[in-house]
Amino acid sequence: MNLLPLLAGYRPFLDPIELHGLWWLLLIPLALGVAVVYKAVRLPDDAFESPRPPGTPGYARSVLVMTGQIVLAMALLALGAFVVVEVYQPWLAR
Amino acid sequence: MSALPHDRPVGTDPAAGLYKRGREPFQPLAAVLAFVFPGAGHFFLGHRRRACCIAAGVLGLTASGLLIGGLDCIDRKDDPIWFYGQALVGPVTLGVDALHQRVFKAYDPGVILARTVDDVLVRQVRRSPRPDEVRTNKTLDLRDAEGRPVQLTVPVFELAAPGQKPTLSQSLGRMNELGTLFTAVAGMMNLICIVDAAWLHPRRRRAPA
Repeated sequence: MNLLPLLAGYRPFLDPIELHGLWWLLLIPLALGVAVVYKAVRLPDDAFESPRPPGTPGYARSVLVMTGQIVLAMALLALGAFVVVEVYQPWLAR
Repeated sequence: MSALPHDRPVGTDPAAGLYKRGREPFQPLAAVLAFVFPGAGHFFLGHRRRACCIAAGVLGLTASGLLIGGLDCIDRKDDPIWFYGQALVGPVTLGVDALHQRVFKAYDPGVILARTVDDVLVRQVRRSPRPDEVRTNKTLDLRDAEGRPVQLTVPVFELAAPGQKPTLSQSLGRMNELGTLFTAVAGMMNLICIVDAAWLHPRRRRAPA
């Protein structure tokens, strides 16, 4: 994919980015942002100590795991919605 | 790690090294600081690493939303309901909206037909630019409520020259939706942080080795 035409004349914050065809990829940074803040609030104090007590999950690992969980859950929800709208509803209408 | 000032070990179990939760004190100053700047409440309470992570997450979501959809995503006049969520990030979002309203929005070209100051400031509304418009300043000869002549310089949109980009590109479709969503989610996550800072309690600690 040639990005040069997209980047030419692009002004950050003044122009929106042109990702209309790949908008679903933006779920990943959204999930990452939510996980960063949520784990910062919910993890015990041990997770932020240096060095960490043995057996304590670190902050970075917890964030990555939660990000993966969110992305997987949203993908499964999308699949479920697809099945209901494209398969089950037409079958009911027949 | 030494005990923080707010730690209240009520009914401590020395064998397990656990603190039982007592009555969490309400800390309004920490809540206010958490609203003023993401993470400042936790920083004030001594949780510096948590504060840095909160700031990185909330501000990262806000900046990402503005990069995706542009400054157009934060608009208290055109999208008031979304703005209520975005405003929870604090003065950062309020400042971005003020910038958007004051610096990038302008009046319709038809404002040059106005006769009185009220025709401009009361009956006209600033709007975002169209793809072929640029912002410029025009000085209008008007009359005030008493009929006295007044000169008023106002921002007005005019057609852009060939090849000239608009002052601010209005985002549409998915990019506008996602930019608005990112910034609103940042506000809601900051609300969680504000509540957490207001009633912060010591997290469970493991028994020392």
